Order: sequence, then structure tokens, then C-alpha cells
Amino acid sequence: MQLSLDPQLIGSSPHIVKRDHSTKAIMLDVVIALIPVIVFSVFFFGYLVLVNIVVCILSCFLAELCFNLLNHRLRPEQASYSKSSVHNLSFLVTAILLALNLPVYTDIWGWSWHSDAMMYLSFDTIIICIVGSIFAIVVCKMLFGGLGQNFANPACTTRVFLLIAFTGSMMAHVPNLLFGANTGGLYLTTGASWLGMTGDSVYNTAMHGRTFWNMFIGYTQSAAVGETSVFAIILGYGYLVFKKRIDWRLPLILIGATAIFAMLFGFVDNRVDYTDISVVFGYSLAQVMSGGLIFGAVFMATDYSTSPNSFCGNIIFVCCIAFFTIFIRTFSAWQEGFSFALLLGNVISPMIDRYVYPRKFGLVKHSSRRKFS
Amino acid sequence: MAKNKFAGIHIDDNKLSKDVAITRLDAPKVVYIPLSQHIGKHASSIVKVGDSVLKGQLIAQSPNPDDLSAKIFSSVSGIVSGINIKRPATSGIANHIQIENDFKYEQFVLPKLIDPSIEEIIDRVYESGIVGMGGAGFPTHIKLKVGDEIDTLIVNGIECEPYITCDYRLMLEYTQEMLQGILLIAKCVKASTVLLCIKQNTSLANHLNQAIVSNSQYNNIVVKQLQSIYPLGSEKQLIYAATGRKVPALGLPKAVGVVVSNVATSYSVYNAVVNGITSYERLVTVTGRCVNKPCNVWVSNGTPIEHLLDYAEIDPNIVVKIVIGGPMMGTALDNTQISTTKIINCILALTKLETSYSVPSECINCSLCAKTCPMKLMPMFIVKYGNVDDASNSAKYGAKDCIECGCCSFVCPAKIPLVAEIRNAKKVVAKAEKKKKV
Repeated sequence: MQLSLDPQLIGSSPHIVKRDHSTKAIMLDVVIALIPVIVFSVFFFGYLVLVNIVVCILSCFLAELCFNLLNHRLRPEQASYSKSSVHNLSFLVTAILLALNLPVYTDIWGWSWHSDAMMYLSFDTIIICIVGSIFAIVVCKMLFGGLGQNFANPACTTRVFLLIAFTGSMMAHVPNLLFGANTGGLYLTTGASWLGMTGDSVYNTAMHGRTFWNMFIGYTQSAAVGETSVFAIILGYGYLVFKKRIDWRLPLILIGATAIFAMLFGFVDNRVDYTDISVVFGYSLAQVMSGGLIFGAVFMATDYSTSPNSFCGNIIFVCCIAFFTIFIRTFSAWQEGFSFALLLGNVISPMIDRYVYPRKFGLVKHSSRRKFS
Repeated sequence: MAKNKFAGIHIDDNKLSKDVAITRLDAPKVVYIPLSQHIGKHASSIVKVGDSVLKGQLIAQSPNPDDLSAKIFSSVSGIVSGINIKRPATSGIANHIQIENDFKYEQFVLPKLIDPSIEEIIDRVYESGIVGMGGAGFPTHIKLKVGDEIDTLIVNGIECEPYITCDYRLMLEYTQEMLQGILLIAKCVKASTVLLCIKQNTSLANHLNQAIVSNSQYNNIVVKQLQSIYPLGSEKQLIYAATGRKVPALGLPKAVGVVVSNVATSYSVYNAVVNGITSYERLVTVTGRCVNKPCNVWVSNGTPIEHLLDYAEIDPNIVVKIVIGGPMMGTALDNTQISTTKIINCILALTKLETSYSVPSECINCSLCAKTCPMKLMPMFIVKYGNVDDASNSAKYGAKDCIECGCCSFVCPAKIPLVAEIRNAKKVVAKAEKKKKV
């Protein structure tokens, strides 16, 4: 009997691998988990959200493909469409996360098609989406070596970049339009929901049960489109946990730590009346449900390549993020601190990996080893 | 034993030959017996071309009896027609003894031992060339020479690898012989408790329990069903799951008072002591979706595996990969001339669908490999630092502790051959340590 065994296939053990398990499948699962968020944001903000998402997806796709083609001298293995890294679909996740992290529209140069009551199409926003996509893909991801090599979350870094780059030029026209406080009227765009308010309104709105319900469902008037509906994010979280794509404990630890830090910092900043326990909890809850925290906790702090690789390291990582978030929200001029906090967390995550790693099986302390030998 | 959990993976069992009764495959016209069927020093031939040998007669041994080595026996009766013949083996080209089969099967037996002492048993195990039959091939007589610190003998009947069923069939069909063998081993290591560990399987557990209850000799043998997770059959993980003791990193089970033995080894010990039969054949599972008749067969050592594949009616059109051993830790072959040995427990013929091979892509740092590692290592860092010759960092994340179980490669979404790369990292670490010593 003569068998024709292909020498190419004689590989190292193991000879079987997990089925339907690939980078692409993971990315697709994240996209599926983002669908409820997309649906809810379209419901609250209108079709312009879809326009943003499509623009981001197209420009991310083209940015990554062009980078692959132009980079043929350093990475010849990716320098054609069929071999390009776009096939791992990570650009799709970046694009959708980015679009969901932007306001539904912005007004910088006033290039838009609108009536008094309605915004039909905002060319400013489309330009912002394209600039953001190129920044996210090229600067944040591909220049570091592509998927898995980037140290900071592309969507989050881009959000911070746009926030800083465009606040100045916008200040003259509409204060704090991008990620700013709610301005009312026509340009009902993004503030980190409740965070823009100060003073007495904090108590009054926060303590109102109806406000919490609105925050949970997503009836906040101003926010980045993806982060409004806690309910939609919980649906996505459930899917990711069900498919075992993320560790279910980490978003909860992050949210819990934020709540605790919010209580402590509320005391420091004299924002909260500590004689009334319900105010304390209300304040914590409002902090947690505001801004990009829950969205980021589920979809961005669990990003594989920018978080530490051990569970203990991840706990330190999310606690740092929680601390920075509340610190920035309490003392900084920015109302929303989560993006900055996540970026800071990304920066320290390689250091965490260096010092925090699991103890090997059987590596016991000296005293207990003596017991058996 | 829910509390003694370790990470690992759940794999489809695929035990195709589970219900196939054990049969016997007659030896072919010519057998090629490898001179190295165990860990340690190769045996050297003590027969010459033209000698006539009996089935079970000694044909090769290491000159110094204190060496880490095992004796090797003829598996057929006939004429030695060549010594030191170079033929492919699982690890490169090795020396073989070629014996022409005369089909008379005249048997050579050692005298039977009645009520043997510990020294007699260990001596008989040495004289019969028994090695650990779970796959490692560690000479058993050396394993049995332990001090007084042992209190537990764990008998490994787990077979955590998919496809393999020979130990399962052995436990079912040769229950009494196996239990007798276990008693002999327990006597040697002076173990007070004997844990016969099997996978979660009520019918097998009942079968074993009935056999144990039937004879008061077996009083101290406890059948233990353990939750099925790969790699439960790995020595350190098995000890932890069965007793809760953790073998020290880079240490031996002896350090926690445990000896682990395989069920097939126990059966061989019984045969050697009670019947005086030396170790020249073993039970092999031939399986995979490419064979029409998956089976468990007694095979004489030195049978080329193509005979086994023919016996199991392999379909040559759909086979893409032939593996010796289990699919997780076995070796893929490039030809079918390789002879069976004492430690080859399974021959797998896999279809394209069963095995899978895809181009590795970049690591996405998902840390699934670290989460599934039963040794709690961080494979991605071992590989990352190993690839750039950074031995100290590679060792820090556990290059030396890796048991090569293959869980990390199995779950890797980027399909990186982590086990192969960790082997390279091990070499890097070993080289650096050697350099340090000099």
C-alpha cells in the first residue's frame, strides 16, 4: 500500500485545532455584540448614525488596504488584496467603535444640509469620520505593526485625538460641541449625558428615579451615540460573555470600582451631601451610568491587545482606569474622563504584564514545599 | 473533586473504537525491532546475523545494568537476518534488528514467580524490559525503586487524548490481570492507598467496582472517576485532581509521595511476574475517520505500521495525515515503514476535515493560551521572548515548565503553532543555561 502523504502537512502537534475559532470569528462576534448598540443609537439619533458608521467602515477599510499595499517593502506578506490584513476584519470593529464614539453630527465649518428643525446631512461630520478613521488605522494600529501590536485602543485614541484637535476651533462657534455639554436647540449633540451639569442640578437630576430609567434606556439628549443606552450595551455584553469572548468579571469589576471611587471623590470634592445615604448612592450610580464608562468597560477595556494578559493584571488595569476616570471627571475641565483614563491604562498595561503574571502550577513557597520532601 | 480544578480544554472524544473488542494481529513475515523503545540509553544488540531466536527472547540490552535503559525482546520466533539496520523511526533514523518470522511462534518464558518479594518483582520487571506504556517510555524498574516516602499509587486509566481506547478496552477485558498487576506495583512502592483513576464513566466504574468487591485482596484499591478535561492524563494534573497535591515545578511526583503508573504497564507487570512473559507486544488502537474498521489490537513489536493500517482497512484516497500517538501530543509521520514499539499506543489516520492546518497570522494578544494552560504559563510571552533569544524572560514565563500538552495551540485563534515554538524556546533556554555553566 502506498500512501501519498503531503510533506507540507507534517506539522508539530497538536494535530487538531478548535473549529470555527479564528481571529475573524472573534471580530465578527464583537460586531454582532455591537448591533444592539447600533440599533438603539439609530433609534435615538436617526439615520445619520448609519451614515457615520458606513463612512467609517469604508475609510478604515481603504486606509488599511492602502497601508498594506504601500508598505510592501517592509511587509511583503501582506502587500496584495488577497493577502491584506483587512481579511481579519479588525478594521470593522475599529470603524464601528469609532463611529459610536463620535457625536451624531458636529458643526465646525457649517458645511451641512439642514432645515431649521432637522439635520439632513452633515459634511463636517463625514470629514471628521474620515480623518478619524485614517488616524485610527494608520497611526494607532498599522504603524505599530498591525493587529495585536498596537499598545493603545485605536477607537479610544482617535476619540481623544479628535476631542483635543477640534475643541479649539469649535470653541468660537458653539462651545463644547464635540463631547461637550448639551447645548439645546438645533445642535443637540453630545455631552457626556449628565456629566456636563454642575452644582445643584447634580442632586436634582441624579436623585430623580426617572432620570436613571432614562439613562438606562438611553433617552439622554447628548452623548456620543454609542454610549447612551445602558440596556443595549448590556445586550452586547451578554452576547460576548455567552460566546466567551471576554471575561465576564472584568467589566463588572471596572464598573464597581468606578462606583466606589465616585463615592470617595464625591466626598473629596464636596459634591455630595454625606448625611444622606441615598444621595451618596445616587451620585455613584449616576457617575457609573454617565458617559462612555459602561460602553468602554464592555467593548474597549476588554480589547485584547491593549489590556494585560493575566487576570490579576487585568484587575489592576481596570481599577487604574476606574481611578483615572473619576479623578479626571472630578478635577479636570473635561466632563468625560473615560477615554483619557483608558488611554492611560493602555500605557501602563505592558508594565503590568511585566510584573504581574500567574504563578506556575506547582511553584510553591519554600515553607510548604518542605512538607512533602 | 470539583475543588482541585486546573485549566484545560474540552475536546470531542471521538472514541471510534470504544466498543470494538480486542483482537490479535499476526506478525508479518519480517519484523524490524527498534533498539530504542524507551527513554534513556539505546540498547545494543546481543544477537548475530543467522542466530535463531524464540518469541520473547532477549535480543538487545544495555551493557551496564545500572543504566537508564530497558531490555528488548524478539516478538517472533525465527532467524535474525540483520542487525543495526537503519530505518525510519518516530525520531529520525534509528537502528533496528531484522528478524525473519518462521511462523512457529515458539515461546520463551521466564520461570513463574509465586508469592514474590519486592526485590524479585523489581528484578523481574527489569528482566522483562517493561517501560511506562502511557507514552513516555520511562523504564519501570527504575520507577519502582523508591524509598519509603510513597503513600499513594495512582493508576492512570484516563486516556484524556481523543480517539485512543486501548487502555479503556484493557480495563474492560483484562480486569483481573490488571488489578493483580496493580497490587504487585503497590507492593513494590509500599503504597497504602491505590487510586485507579478513570474518566467520568459510570458503566466502566461499576464494572471495575464489581471486580474489586469480588476479591478481598483488592480492598485498598479505590476507583476514582474524575471530571473529563484535557490534559487530565498528564502526570502532574492527574495527581492534583486525584489527591489535591501539587508536584513542585520541575519536580517529580515522588516529592509529594505519589507514584503514577499506567494500566497497560500494570498488565505487563502481571504478565511478567505471574506468567513469565517478557514485554514484546502491546495493545494498539488503530483509528481515525480514514479507517473503515477502527480497532484495538495486540501487535508484536517491530510490525511496520502499514500492516496495521491495512488490517484496519484504511482508505488511501482520503488520508492526509498519519499520526503516532494521540492527536494532541502525537507525532505526524511522513511514511508508513515505521515499526511499532512498546510505547506506541495509537495510530491515527486523519481526514482533511479532522485535522486542520491554516496559515498562522499575527498574535492578537487574546491571552486564551494563558487562560487554558494547565501549567499556568504564558505561552505567548515564552514564544515572543524565545524567538528573539531572550532566555531569561522566556524562562520567567515558564519555558522549562511546559508539558507540551498542546492546549495553547488548540485554542489559538491566530493558529500560531505555539507548541513547536515553545520547543524552540526550550532549546534557547537550555543553550543559555549551558553557556552560563561553562
